[in-house]
Amino acid sequence: MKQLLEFAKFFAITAIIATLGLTSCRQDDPVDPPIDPDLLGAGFYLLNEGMMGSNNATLDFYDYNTNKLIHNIFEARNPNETMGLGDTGNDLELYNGRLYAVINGSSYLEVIDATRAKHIAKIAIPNPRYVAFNGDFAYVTSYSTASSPYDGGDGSPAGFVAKVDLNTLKVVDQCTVGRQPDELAVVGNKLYVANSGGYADPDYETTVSVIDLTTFSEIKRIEVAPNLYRVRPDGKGKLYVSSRGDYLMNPAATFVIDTTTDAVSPTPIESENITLAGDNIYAISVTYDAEWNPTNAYLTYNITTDRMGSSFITDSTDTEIVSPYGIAIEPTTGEIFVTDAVDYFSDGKLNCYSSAGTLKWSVTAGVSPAHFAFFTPSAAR
Amino acid sequence: MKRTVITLILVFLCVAVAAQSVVPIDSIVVTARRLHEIVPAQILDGQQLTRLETHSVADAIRYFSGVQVKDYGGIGGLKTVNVRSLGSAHVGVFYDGLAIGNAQNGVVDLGRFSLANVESVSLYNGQRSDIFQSARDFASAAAVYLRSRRPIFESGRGSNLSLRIAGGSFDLFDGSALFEQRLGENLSASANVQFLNTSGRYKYRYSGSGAGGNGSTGWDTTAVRRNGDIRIIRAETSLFGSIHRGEWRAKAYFYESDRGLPGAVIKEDNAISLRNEDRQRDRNFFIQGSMNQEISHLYSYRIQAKYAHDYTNYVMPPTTTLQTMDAHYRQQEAYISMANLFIVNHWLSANLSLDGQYNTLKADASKLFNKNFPQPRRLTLLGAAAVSMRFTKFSAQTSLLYTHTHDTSARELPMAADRNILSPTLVLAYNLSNTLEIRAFYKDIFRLPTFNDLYYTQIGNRALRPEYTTQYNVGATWRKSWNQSPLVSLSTSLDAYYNRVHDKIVATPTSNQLVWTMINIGRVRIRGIDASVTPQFRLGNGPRAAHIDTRITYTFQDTSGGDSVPYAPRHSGSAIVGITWGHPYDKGQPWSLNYSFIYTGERYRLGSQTSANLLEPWYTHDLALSRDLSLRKATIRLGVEVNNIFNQRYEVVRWYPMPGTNFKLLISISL
Repeated sequence: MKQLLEFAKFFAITAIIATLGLTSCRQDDPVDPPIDPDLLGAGFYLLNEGMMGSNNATLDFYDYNTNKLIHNIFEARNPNETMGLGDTGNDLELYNGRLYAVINGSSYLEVIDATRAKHIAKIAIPNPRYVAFNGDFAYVTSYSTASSPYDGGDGSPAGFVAKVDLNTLKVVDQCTVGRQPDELAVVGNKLYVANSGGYADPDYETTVSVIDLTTFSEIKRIEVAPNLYRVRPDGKGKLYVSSRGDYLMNPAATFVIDTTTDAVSPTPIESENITLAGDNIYAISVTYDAEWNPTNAYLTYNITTDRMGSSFITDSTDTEIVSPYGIAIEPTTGEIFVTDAVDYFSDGKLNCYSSAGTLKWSVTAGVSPAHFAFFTPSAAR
Repeated sequence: MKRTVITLILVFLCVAVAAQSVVPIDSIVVTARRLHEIVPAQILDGQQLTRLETHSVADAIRYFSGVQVKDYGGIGGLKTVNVRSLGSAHVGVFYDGLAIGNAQNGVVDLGRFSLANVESVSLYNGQRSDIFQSARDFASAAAVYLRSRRPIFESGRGSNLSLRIAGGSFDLFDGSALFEQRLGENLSASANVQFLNTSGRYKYRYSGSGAGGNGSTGWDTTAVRRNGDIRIIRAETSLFGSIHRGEWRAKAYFYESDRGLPGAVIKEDNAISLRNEDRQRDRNFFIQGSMNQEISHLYSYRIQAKYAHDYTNYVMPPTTTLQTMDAHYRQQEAYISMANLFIVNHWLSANLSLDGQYNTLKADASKLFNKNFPQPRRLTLLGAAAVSMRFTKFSAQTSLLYTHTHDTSARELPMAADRNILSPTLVLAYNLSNTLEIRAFYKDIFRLPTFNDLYYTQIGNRALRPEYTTQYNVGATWRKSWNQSPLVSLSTSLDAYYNRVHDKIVATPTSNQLVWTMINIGRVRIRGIDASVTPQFRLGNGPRAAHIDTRITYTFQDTSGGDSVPYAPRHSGSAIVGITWGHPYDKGQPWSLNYSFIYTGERYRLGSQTSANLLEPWYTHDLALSRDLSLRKATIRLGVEVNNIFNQRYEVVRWYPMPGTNFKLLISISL
């Protein structure tokens, strides 16, 4: 027994010395900060819109290291946030390390720490639609009405753009635009806002409102086409604006505004669901026959050559997509992401295609997956 | 409101003017020979129904097996009934024999009907297996029949008057009056009015932790349900007459309501989400009549006619942050039917029914809506031929329904094509012994696309096909009664079925989320079992005995063979135990205690069948106690009710919270 105690003492002392020795050996090495298990690596966020009245807008994160989609990361990381993200997501953007989710049904802008998917703040904006940024401010379109209640004409209220101070996270100003404004984009010192008029059919809006960012007031309206939807700048002074059409005479189409002259010209893109990456516009076109059977097409258009290209899905796996919905292009690899909303109430799908248009993988996402924000940790810190 | 008061006065005047002579006779005798239904219905009537009288018809139907009532919460909320997961638009609702229609959206809100004036509620799977009926009785996949109270005069009385007042939780006030008058040897009348008002306010609580949270950690919120108020005025007057070997009935019905639609509970921030401000005003009016007579032992006829006018005003006020709306919908229905019964001999009879129906819908909403809405009109012609054979042990019925529709537009816009459809049914029954009977049925029927499905601006799709259902059912009933035993009688029934729905009409968004359309895409398969046990007990002997009425149901449904059916539980059930006791014994015992229980098992909401969409089972316990007192010639009833005794948090439809424990007090006086 005594021998055993002696051995234990010897063993303990040796172990302490060895540990000290090893520690001192490493003292010259740089000390890593404690690893935060919540920190996210490179990947992208995906906002699933959910179904109206169901509180099932969800945020997923696709991790490039594990190649796995983490479902509903917002609720998992923020268990104290009442009813998760809430009802009906409508837009998602990443700006200076923060993620901004526009939650339409629940009427607020959710501000999230993109490095950990942790809630920072909620900013109340009624019936919000899309968000854009410039300097220390975010701009959010709203179908609801600001101070001037009516636009005259058909008696339908005009929408507005809310200006949010990103330091105080408060709405600091409002600017009335056309009825039911959708996407918006900053070009130079101007904000271009697509007015839809979607509540007042058949009296759709046909204009883009132009707001001077210094005075934050509307300076003009550019006549484009009925029921405007998307606004995508190419970074070289051109702005691509899509129209949903009026379901009567005018089909869906995309137009281009030269922001130096504000002159409008047509493009051959017969679609409203567009995204712009590099020199190409990728568009999903859905047309219907008399019995509402849809035909889906996946179009490309080169903005430097002004030519339509071939389908961006090249391996004929496009027939597996039931209801193509969201589209995004990975900024470095050129991979193409297309979501499938299927029936708009079941869980949708996220499909990844190589830049050459072949299906790489497909996973189940949330309900009506639609909006992407690509995340790089180094850029965020 | 002013118009309502005038209508009420008119209703009373009609009855008063008609009340001239008071000649006591026995209650009116039904002379037409009754042909038995060969498959029994589920029925709630008599004292079992009386004990549920403060509820709506939808609440009572929950105690039937094979039924799911969709309840959006509260008293003012919409309540629709779905039988064996076929879809609520497949369930026909008949009030005193005539269908309550809704050509606009095909759904009848059963929350609208109070049990205060209803004598029996019956549910038939397939169809009522009584061939002497209108063609429309053959035309739905399942049917709910409501029969309003008909006057019964105790000897020496020429009139009955009863007043009833109930009040309780959610600021409920419910008052009604019933007046019945004998007008002659072969004629009596009744008038019934009801006023109901409630704020619909109740506390609810939600909590969770992560997806599908269990409430142990994380968020927890309590709020008050708002915009769930309703005000209802209902007035009915009926005439009941008998003729040589026959009888007739006429009824005028008026209903007006103004309600808030509380909507789903959604995440809100800083109370700027003003979405639940929607209001709905309804005004329904109909007159209907029916007459049947036995001309000879060989031939009887039944004539029915109805005119209905339904008005709905849906308002989303300018204060909403969403699209404002002020839409008016006016529907009219004219209906006439003649059923002809031929009794060939003691085992063979046949029926031929011809119905004509005309529906119109006028809508006044947004500019686009008005521009493209065809203001549809539909002519429906129905013909049904049915044969019934009855032998000592074996019975069979078969029917063939022919449906023709022709849609036109008041604005000469293109419409759906005409339809001509044949739908067969076969019902068989066999008595194995005095106590045991087995049965089977097969039925093929469809529901037409509604006016909204076909023509609603932007949403509607004129190319829609009807939604077809096929039902197969086998079942058995075992019944026995005993004289000298605490168990007085026992009846059990068990049915197994297989239902198919194809070309199911489903709403789907187009590439633009703001624009939806209707398509024939769904395909549903339902396998199920309905079971019920109804024992009656007597405890003690003679006048001191207590009587116990019990009804237990169990429903099993498996919908995995086709598209998922939202809110269809795999297991559900109910139980009612009613006990009466005390003196006097003969006129109905004065004390009555009713316990009822509802269980709904796990089910999925609309969406993928994942844990995030799985809803927890819920079960509620309700108790009602009443005491009848005799005061000279009057009978006074005092009642108290406690519903959801254990204050269970539950929702029938996701994000529509149901009330916790709630109370009701009732006083009624019958003179």
